Amino acid sequence: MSFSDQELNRLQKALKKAHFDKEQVDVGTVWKWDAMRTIRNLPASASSFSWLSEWNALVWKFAMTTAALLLVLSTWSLQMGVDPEMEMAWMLFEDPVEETVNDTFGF
Amino acid sequence: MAFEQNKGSPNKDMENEKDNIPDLVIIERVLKGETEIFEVLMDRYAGLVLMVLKKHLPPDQIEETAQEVFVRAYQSLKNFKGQSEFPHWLSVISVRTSYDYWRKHYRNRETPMSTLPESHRMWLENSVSDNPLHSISDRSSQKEAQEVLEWVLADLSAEDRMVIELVYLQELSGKEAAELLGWSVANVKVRSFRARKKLEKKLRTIMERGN
Repeated sequence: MSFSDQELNRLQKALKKAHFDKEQVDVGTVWKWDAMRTIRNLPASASSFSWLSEWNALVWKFAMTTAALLLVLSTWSLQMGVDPEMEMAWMLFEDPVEETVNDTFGF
Repeated sequence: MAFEQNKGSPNKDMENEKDNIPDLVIIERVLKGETEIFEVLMDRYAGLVLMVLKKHLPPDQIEETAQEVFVRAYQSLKNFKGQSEFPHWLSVISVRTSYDYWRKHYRNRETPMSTLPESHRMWLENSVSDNPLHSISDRSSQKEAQEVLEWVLADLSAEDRMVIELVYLQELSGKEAAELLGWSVANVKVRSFRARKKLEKKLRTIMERGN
């Protein structure tokens, strides 16, 4: 049996109707009570969830600000003709103890 | 007399008052901790959610999924920015929850149905004929039609199924379907074209060679 495009169209139309007729299914209301019961038991976790996301946003902002500051600093160091790696190393690892020892013993 | 008519019980007055509160105000109050008032939103939009779910899910899954939709909505309420209407936002959650159901279902399914019962084949033959023997609005025929539709869709993936239902059966635009599913418009277009070809191939196979 060959199946023409016209027949296919008719079948597709019938299936579309079948899809729309699904709306006629009867549904009870018990699920609403169950949903509200579940929701009533949620607030604690829901609020901690929102607290967590606020905390995440804060950490994210801090990370972005630090990255931006580092970028500005290294750009500035380059413009001043200082090797940014050396500059950072100087800032981070300068040892005040050594200076004191040198001063004391006159090295 | 007019006074008598307006005088209702305090409970009824409170209910009427709740019915008139705008969605955004309710949402604000829920977010401030008034959990109970979320029930007003649920009563207001239960019909809408059920209507969406009935189109995408088997009847025995509708109630459970409706429950899941409202729980998800409650949990995500903080993310509702009011850029779209609340009912639309809820429809998006309903469609995506239906999609999640099918993804889970298809992952766990054992073997797809292999044969179509004789009564359903008769429905198919009747629906393609020029002069159908009985109207397809007939109750038993309606049931067969839905079972045939389900049988045809059962072979598709969860993605193809959702896109066929939204774009092809409900005739939504690519943009609307993309918004509901959270996909790009191009993805919806490509997938709906391929899924439709698969569907047509399956229908032709059933009708030409039997199943």
